[in-house]
Amino acid sequence: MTHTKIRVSGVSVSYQDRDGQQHVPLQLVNLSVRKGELICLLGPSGCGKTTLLNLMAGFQTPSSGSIEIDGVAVRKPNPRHVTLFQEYGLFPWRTVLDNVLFGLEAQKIARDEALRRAHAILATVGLTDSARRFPRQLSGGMKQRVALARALVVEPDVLFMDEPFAALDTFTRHRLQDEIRTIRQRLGTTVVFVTHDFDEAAYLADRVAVMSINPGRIAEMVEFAPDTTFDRRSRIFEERRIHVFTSVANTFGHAEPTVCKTSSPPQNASPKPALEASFTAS
Amino acid sequence: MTRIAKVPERVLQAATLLLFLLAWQLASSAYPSDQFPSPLNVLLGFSEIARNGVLIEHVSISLFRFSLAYLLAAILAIPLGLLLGGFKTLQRASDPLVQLLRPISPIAWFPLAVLWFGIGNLPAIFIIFLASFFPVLLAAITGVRHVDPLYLKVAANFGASRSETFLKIIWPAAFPHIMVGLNIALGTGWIHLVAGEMLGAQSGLGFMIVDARNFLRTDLIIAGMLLVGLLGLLINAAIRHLEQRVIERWGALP
Repeated sequence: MTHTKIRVSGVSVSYQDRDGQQHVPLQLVNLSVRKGELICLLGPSGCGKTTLLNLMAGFQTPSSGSIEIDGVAVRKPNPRHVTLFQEYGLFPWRTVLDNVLFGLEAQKIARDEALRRAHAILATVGLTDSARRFPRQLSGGMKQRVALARALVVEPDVLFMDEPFAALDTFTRHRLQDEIRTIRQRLGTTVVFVTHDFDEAAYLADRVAVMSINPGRIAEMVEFAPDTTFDRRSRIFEERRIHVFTSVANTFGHAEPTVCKTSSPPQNASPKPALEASFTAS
Repeated sequence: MTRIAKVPERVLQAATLLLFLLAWQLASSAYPSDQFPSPLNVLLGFSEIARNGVLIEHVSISLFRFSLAYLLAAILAIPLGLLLGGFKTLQRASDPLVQLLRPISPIAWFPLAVLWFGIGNLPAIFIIFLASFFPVLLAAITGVRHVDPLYLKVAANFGASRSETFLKIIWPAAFPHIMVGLNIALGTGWIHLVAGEMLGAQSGLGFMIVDARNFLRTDLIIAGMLLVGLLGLLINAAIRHLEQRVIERWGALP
């Protein structure tokens, strides 16, 4: 019933820097993303979560291993799989409407049809009144909405989101998270969502892949009961958060992975037992 | 300090000009007027050539040469710069040559220009062209190389073709840089207009200044110099206006 949309098998990325030192941002990562799910890649900076996303989106090729979407090997970016970036990537010389039209122009969609679709999607993200404005006249939240509209208008079946809300204030972030939920319910798009925000993962995800650092790999997989109706004050959200925190603590020995790893020995220095099990990520 | 800061800018600027004229007047009174003419002498000389048609003739030929050379430089330098900026290998291959030619003053080309083109419009046009060409070329190269890689990533993601990426992403993204180059070229081109016309032309503002020297008409020398300054100012104001429009559209340079 749940078929696999994206299959990442035995993927590693490694390179040598100028000093001849070997770096392994990703080591032997296995992951299957189910059709229609929202999966979060959660981890600290440097855990390779953005690298993994770039590989799936076709912006980068792995040193070894393979990546398939719908059974077809990923070799380059594809308009069916659109990426949203933290820095939006809007074209400052184009109006909001023209930014949204860009993907349709590239696909040679007839002008009338393209305009109709662009206006419809702008209405969906609540930007109808801003169609003629330029990106620099918009707030960060509105800019990310434009980028979302530009992505959705080409009707992609996968959305890759690379910390899309990390630069926004909490109010705006929560509103956009709610919109992502709504859009998913309506369109059933498969979403791979990179974040370092535990709450964001707990709120949005169907599954959370907790990634470890040096080398980057998926250490734990958290799976929630499918539910997109709870709100942030609910017991369900609380339970999900605890679930995420527990997995992160299992992965890193404590809940703040990046801070005191080297400076002070972790109090509960029990290296978690879950590593072996987690390797064969579902 | 604070009290001066409150005086309107225009008033301050007028006062500065007035002070300059006053100093000029004072200094010139120590010399015979055919050696160092007073502001009034210059004004009289100016009105003389304005009335007998000499002025308009020289100004129009200068403006013609300048526009032609400047446009030619822009038309050649922009595509070449986009090309060199777009293909790293080409840019790397040509960089030493560009860096070698660039520091050569356009004036140093002058002997060759006269040998090749004789006396007349062409040497002046050639000099102005050289003076405008390199700023635009380098700006276009820089513009392409500073296109935000994220824009290219987005274009690739949506499946934009090469030509589409060039026309819809690289060109508009590089345009603010090119505009800066065009602005610089305007200044250097205009400065070299006088030099070019002094050396190899029988007309134009530069020639007018040399000609006035031959007849010891110092009033006309200064009139010609001020005219060059004034026209430069006007052209600069025009391009600033244009640049403002570009910034409104594209946003300021990062």
